[in-house]
Amino acid sequence: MNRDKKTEYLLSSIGEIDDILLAEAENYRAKKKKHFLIPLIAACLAFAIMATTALSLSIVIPVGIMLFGDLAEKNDAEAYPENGGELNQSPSQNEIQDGNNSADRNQSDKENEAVKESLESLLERFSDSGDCAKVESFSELSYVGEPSLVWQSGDEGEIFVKPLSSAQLESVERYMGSGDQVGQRSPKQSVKVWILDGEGNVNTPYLKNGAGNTDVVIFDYEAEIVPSEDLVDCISDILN
Amino acid sequence: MDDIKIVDLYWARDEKAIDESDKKYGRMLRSLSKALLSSSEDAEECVNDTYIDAWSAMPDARPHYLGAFLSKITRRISIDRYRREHREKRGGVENLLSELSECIPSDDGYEAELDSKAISELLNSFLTSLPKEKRVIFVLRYFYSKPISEISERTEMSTSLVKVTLYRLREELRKRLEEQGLL
Repeated sequence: MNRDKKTEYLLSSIGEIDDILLAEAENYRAKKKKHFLIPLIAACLAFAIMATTALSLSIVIPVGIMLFGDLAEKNDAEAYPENGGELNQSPSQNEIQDGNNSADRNQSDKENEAVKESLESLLERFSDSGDCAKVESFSELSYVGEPSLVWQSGDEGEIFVKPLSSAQLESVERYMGSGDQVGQRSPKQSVKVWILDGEGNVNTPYLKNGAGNTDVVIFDYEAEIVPSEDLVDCISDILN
Repeated sequence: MDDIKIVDLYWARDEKAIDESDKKYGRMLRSLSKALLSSSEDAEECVNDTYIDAWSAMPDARPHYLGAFLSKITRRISIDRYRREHREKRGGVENLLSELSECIPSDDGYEAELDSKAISELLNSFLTSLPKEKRVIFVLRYFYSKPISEISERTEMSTSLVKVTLYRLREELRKRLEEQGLL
């Protein structure tokens, strides 16, 4: 067989490429490239200012202590003769601040946990209501066409699909990718959620927005963020 | 209308299936066929033939990606039509053939295999091994016959970078075909 025939044969074989790869290419649009120059210059300037400030303080503070330390000790001795000139030991400002931060963190983790649980229970309740489609496997989903909300209980649980209108997709996408970081001791997700945008892209409200967090098929993931309350409200409105 | 509903219409032998397919994918199919044949009239006929083929293929087939399923039919019909008519003018197929001939390993005396299943498998594994952007460039060029300028816009890469990427991909594919003794 001559070279031309072989080339035609290859051209025909390209016609047998997997459907999923064709759908991926047909729906591919490069993410707008970000311009890093201005943020980079701003970051360099900020770093330079911080470094200069730190250097100045590291010189000024020891010199200040050297000059005024003796004077302060004398004053303390005069003011607190019963303590031998020692100040009462009380928690430092930093210790108080650390305690407050830790309490805030715990509080915030609890709130996030509550939001996550409310989304999971909402989806589980809706699964039981029978108002959504159920599919046997992810390969039955339509990635191109109508957008949809997809969820699965556990790793092997049933898969549910709720079609979304364009307006609903737009509101869901508005709130995606902006929740708080998942706490270190947060329990594993009991329900996994994905959004299919109908143009071949799959995303999840549990990951930050980014090219690496989008795929053309359902993908497994470890939650990075907790969906925001606004997103949960939005999904609740859609399901109710 | 989503793909599942359109496929259901084909399965129910409802002629609305063709209208809905045309509404959703007609433009894409015409553009694919026109890129291969360089003629709007021929492309129109190929797209109409596509729907007839899809109508005959279902209900046996139940495609998950209707767009890809119809594209394959349109591409096959357009290439067949090109071959049948032996056009003198340089159409899209000529351009693709000229580029793809670089992927054909040199004839060094042994009888290479012409196993279409093995070639398809090699192509699929070759593509899945590539980074997404390169894979998309290859498919857009050699399946959808998109012009370099359009690929450059879609991928936000310069046209020269797209050309260089395609050149490297052809080289890589030629090596794979050679290693497997295919073509």
